[in-house]
Amino acid sequence: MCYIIGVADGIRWADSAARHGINQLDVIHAIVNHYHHAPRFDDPRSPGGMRPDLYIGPPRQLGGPLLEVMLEVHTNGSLLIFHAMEARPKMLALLEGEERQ
Amino acid sequence: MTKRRNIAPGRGTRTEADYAAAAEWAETNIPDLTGQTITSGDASREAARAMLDRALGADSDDDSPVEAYARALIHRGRPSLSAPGVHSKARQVRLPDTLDARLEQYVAITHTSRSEVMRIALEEYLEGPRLPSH
Repeated sequence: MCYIIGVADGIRWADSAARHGINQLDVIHAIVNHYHHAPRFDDPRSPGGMRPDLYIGPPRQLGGPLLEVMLEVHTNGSLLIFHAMEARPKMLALLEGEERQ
Repeated sequence: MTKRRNIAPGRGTRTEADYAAAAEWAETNIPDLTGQTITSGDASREAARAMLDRALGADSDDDSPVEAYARALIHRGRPSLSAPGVHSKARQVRLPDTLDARLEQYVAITHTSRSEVMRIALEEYLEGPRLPSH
């Protein structure tokens, strides 16, 4: 078990995470309350062999459009969020289909 | 010009340009998740909360990660433990399972936080006659 005492600078954002204007608090909310999570998914097409986590979850506003979020979890527990946008219908269909299998 | 600022020194070696490329890929592709793990439900959400709590250095019994992050955004951290405007240092501590279980039991009984217990324990330890005399 590992604890960090105090406030750590453990959540960082790439500039690309702001491309779609999603509020950072909505991103955090979507992660905490996610409907689907693909941990360290392995897609051979991803740049640099990155194996990010994918979350699909709701924003803070009730009934708001679901968000898709991608981040990297580093070995020290810090997070790097680099992708946040409204979830595409194809993405939702894919995750719901994979879960049913 | 390609930006090569390293945004994760010591916590990953990727650059801002690497993440820009990854975001570009994420926006224009649907990942191939065939045969890969997809989690959902309460256990999955609890794991996500624990992940954020750890990243934020927050106790899961304090408040939600959204509230903790909102406070961090507004105040650049919780109210300082040292003095107003002074950033309190974060220390990472690993505990053996048995000691961690005792800590969990203690905070459950006393309704305090893990951080508070560790701060008090450290103060009491350091005030004791353990330092060699100079």
